[in-house]
Amino acid sequence: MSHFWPAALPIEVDGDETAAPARITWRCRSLRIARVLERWRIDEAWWQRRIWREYFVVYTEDGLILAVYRDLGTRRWWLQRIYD
Amino acid sequence: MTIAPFGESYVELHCHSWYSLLDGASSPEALVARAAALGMPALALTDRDNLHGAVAFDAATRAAGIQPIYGADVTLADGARLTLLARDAAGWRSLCTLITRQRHAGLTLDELEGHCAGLTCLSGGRDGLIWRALDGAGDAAALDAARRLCAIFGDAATWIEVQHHLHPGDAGRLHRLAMLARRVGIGIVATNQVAYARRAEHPLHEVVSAIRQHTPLDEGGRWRAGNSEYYLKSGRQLMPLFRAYPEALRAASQIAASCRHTLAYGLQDLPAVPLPAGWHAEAFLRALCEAAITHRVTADPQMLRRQLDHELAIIAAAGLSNYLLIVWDIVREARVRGIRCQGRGSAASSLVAYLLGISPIDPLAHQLVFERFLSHERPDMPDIDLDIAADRRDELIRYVVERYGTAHVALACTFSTFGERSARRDLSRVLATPPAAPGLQSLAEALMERLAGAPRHVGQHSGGIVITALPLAERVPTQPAAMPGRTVIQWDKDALEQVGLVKIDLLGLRMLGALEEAVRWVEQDTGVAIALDQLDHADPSVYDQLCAGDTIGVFQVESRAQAQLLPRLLPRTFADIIVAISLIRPGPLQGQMVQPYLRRRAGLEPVRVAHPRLDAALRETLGVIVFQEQVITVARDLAGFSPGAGERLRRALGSGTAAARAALREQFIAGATALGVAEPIAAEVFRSLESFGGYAFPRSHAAAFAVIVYQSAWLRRHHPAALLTALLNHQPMGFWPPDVLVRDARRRGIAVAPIDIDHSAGRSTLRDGTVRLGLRHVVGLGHDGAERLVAARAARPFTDLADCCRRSRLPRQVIAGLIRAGAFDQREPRRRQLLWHLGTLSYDEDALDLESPTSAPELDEPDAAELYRWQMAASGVSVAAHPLARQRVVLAARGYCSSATLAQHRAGDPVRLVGTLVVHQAPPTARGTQFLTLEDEFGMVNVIVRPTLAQGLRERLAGATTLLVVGTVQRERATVTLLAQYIRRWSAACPGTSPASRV
Repeated sequence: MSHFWPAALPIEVDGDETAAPARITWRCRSLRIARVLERWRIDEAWWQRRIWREYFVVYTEDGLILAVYRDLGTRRWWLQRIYD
Repeated sequence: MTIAPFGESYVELHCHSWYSLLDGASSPEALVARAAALGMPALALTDRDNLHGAVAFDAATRAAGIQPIYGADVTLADGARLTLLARDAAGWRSLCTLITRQRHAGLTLDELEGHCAGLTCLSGGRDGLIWRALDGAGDAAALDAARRLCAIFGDAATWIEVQHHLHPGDAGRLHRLAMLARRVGIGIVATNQVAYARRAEHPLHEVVSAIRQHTPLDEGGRWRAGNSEYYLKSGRQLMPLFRAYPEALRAASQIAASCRHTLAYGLQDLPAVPLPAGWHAEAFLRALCEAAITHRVTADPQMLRRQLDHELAIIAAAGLSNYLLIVWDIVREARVRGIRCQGRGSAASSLVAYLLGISPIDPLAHQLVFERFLSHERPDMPDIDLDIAADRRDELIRYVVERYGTAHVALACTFSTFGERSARRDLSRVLATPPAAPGLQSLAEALMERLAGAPRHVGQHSGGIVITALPLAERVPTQPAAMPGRTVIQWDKDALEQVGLVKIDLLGLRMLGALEEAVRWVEQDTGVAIALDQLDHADPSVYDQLCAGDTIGVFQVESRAQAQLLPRLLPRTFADIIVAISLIRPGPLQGQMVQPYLRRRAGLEPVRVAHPRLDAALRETLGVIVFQEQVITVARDLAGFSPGAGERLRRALGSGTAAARAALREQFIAGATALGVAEPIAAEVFRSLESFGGYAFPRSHAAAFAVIVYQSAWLRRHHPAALLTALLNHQPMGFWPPDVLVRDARRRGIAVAPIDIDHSAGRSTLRDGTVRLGLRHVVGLGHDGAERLVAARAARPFTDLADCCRRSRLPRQVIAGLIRAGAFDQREPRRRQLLWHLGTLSYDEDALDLESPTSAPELDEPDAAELYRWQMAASGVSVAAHPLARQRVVLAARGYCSSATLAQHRAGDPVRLVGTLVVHQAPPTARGTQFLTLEDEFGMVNVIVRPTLAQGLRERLAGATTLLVVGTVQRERATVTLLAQYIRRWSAACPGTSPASRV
């Protein structure tokens, strides 16, 4: 099971030197990232409304696994999924 | 470890250009420019199964000062790919050989063995051999495949290619590949499998990929990259992705440093023409020329000898004796087989080419300068182009292939590029939504602009063949052409020219086939044998006809523009024909040279040159530039340009950039002022050179064409029926449709008999002076249908329509076409009745039983105009009276003039005229003015339509067959034209000026 938000939720992220998230702030809660498990980019639907994102699946120090992405156009961060 | 001279600089080793044909979005030039901007010391070009871009890539890397690495992404029979890079000349040969094999018969891994000298093998990217094995059968299979590659290429030349495009799973796969390489004991190398120079070109790449896949973009599929990471990246950009494997990036520069092959130039190695024992090419060439002197040349013997020695010395010094012998051999074989052929272009300036029978023109008699063909200063291998009777050109190409072997002969390729229309069509398919949809319009426009000029697919050059002594596959890859049995080289004519692989153009010219056939008809019908090539070009009656502009069917000068020019130019000599065909070219037309030339020739204005220094260059053409080479002589005499610089100027005027022209202009004016020419005069001359533009015939080329003009004009004058028969059999050709040819011939008293099911052969024929139209004019019948019909008739005459249908077994619509074309008129003139009868017959190829026809009802036959329309739609040719003949009484009563009475009017007279529309031209050189040619039962009328009236005229006249023109008469010497003030459709049914029929 996991919580999935199709519209995604805005989050604040502090990045590391490789532009991967190091700390995520969501609903005033700060989560430190222990490890990036997977990282990928998509660039789709440019002929309609471009979806250009970099996804990260991260493991937090609290033991959560999150899927977050950065919109590469707006540079803003979003939470897409929390894995149980 | 080898220290790469490039230091640690990353070099991209897997890179597609747009020559991967719909699997790459950037030109080689754009990729090289980007690589140089990123600081790469080298770049590999590895297009998919081809080396199309190698020459352009080489030029771009030279300009950018980086090292080119030649390679290819080679597809194996199972679809897996390998990235192969040439380290040295042996590697290049291996690459060419393997690509050639791959393109002709496919390539398996086993077949690579023994053909890999000088090659470095990277295991391929996402579609690579190892990657596919890893994702498919797993680690063990990938390990086997890697060991197999090592066995074929050697451990040192085999690398596991690793990539990271930021797709899910890429990091894991990178790790597995690195482990695999370690187990095999070979290195890993990073590549980015580049498909475009910059990220911004990702949409363009997706578009071309979708076009390749015939799939709309939003349908997705495995071919979609999913992201935009396939652009040319620097080592710095890749470093974070390969943080755990920095050696993969270092390996790229190490491999790059080992690939030191440079493209070979001056590649030409022609096979030797087989000669009699004891002869070498120079001596044999001289012997051939000397043997021909007695019957080919009439010049002063001393001058002749001097010229021959001069030419042979230059030819020998340039090492071209064998080249000329190869062309001679082709021409000789053509003569043996009765295939008419002759050289065109600069070869016609050579006495040697004339003596060998390659050129039809004695250069000494026509003041053609050999240096246009070849000189000590310009010792490059000149192209020799041969015009060959189009219907038998393939036969001659086959001869060349058989003589030198299939591995040694191939045609140059051509690249069909995206044009505006094809780009629009392709885009609307892949974008799925019509490009007119909101928001997509500007996107589609931008994409179209970027697609313009990109190669879309490969074709074969119309006749440029390359012959080499070594197998072609060792020089450059070849591939099968779309036409069965044909092979094309992976380079086009520009690339071939740049590397020095000379092609011989065997071009099809329908008129040559028609001339040959006309001569046969004359002999067959009258017993008179004609030696066309022996004509002395001086028959006054031929020139009389040309002066009258009476030229329909004559090569080159039959066009509307020529027919109007000739009565003003009044050609009386062969040299005049050369000028006439050279004047109606874009250069002289745009340069506004035509009118001054004609006025000066008529003595209406004095001959003037801008400066006395131009006197020698332009005296012969009355002070105007007519021939291509005059650009070079003007630049030489006025501005001191060397012939080489003059040639560069000529090319720049034709197709160079504005910047190149500006630089040459500066050089031209500086050169001229240094020679004492006032700057305004130099600037004025340069302006006229610019407007001339360089699009003109060289004099030698015009001279060679003038021979065909004279020969066809001579046949038209003395054997018009034979020429008409031959012209009809070589359609489509020339300026006029067959119906105009037939009507023109009939006006000149030539008997033309209609298509007749009982008498016509497949082709048009000539018997006792009467031309019989052939069955093949009937639309849909074709060669085979006509053959079947003639064979059935030969067995025994047809008894009736049913018998014809049953025994010819032709499709019903073809029989209907024959009826509509009037082929049954001699048996049953009521065509509608016959069509009804055809409808009652039950027959097809499988059912021979025919129902007995019931008696036909009485049907009204269509009127003559309708019958004429039927006939034209069914066969495009008719011997019926012109449809306007029946309207003449009415037209005359209403005060309309005809083509016959137009000439009786004075200049400026207002007239009204009705004619059928034969030609509608809007030449770009006429700046918006359009030209119509109308025909009536007496002849043709040329109508000039000024730009204000011409705007939108084509759309307004779409589908119109007959027009009414109101205008004023214009006269210039014998030329009468009509300047239109008003044009509309006209129909016999409503000849009045009803508002509804206005256009």
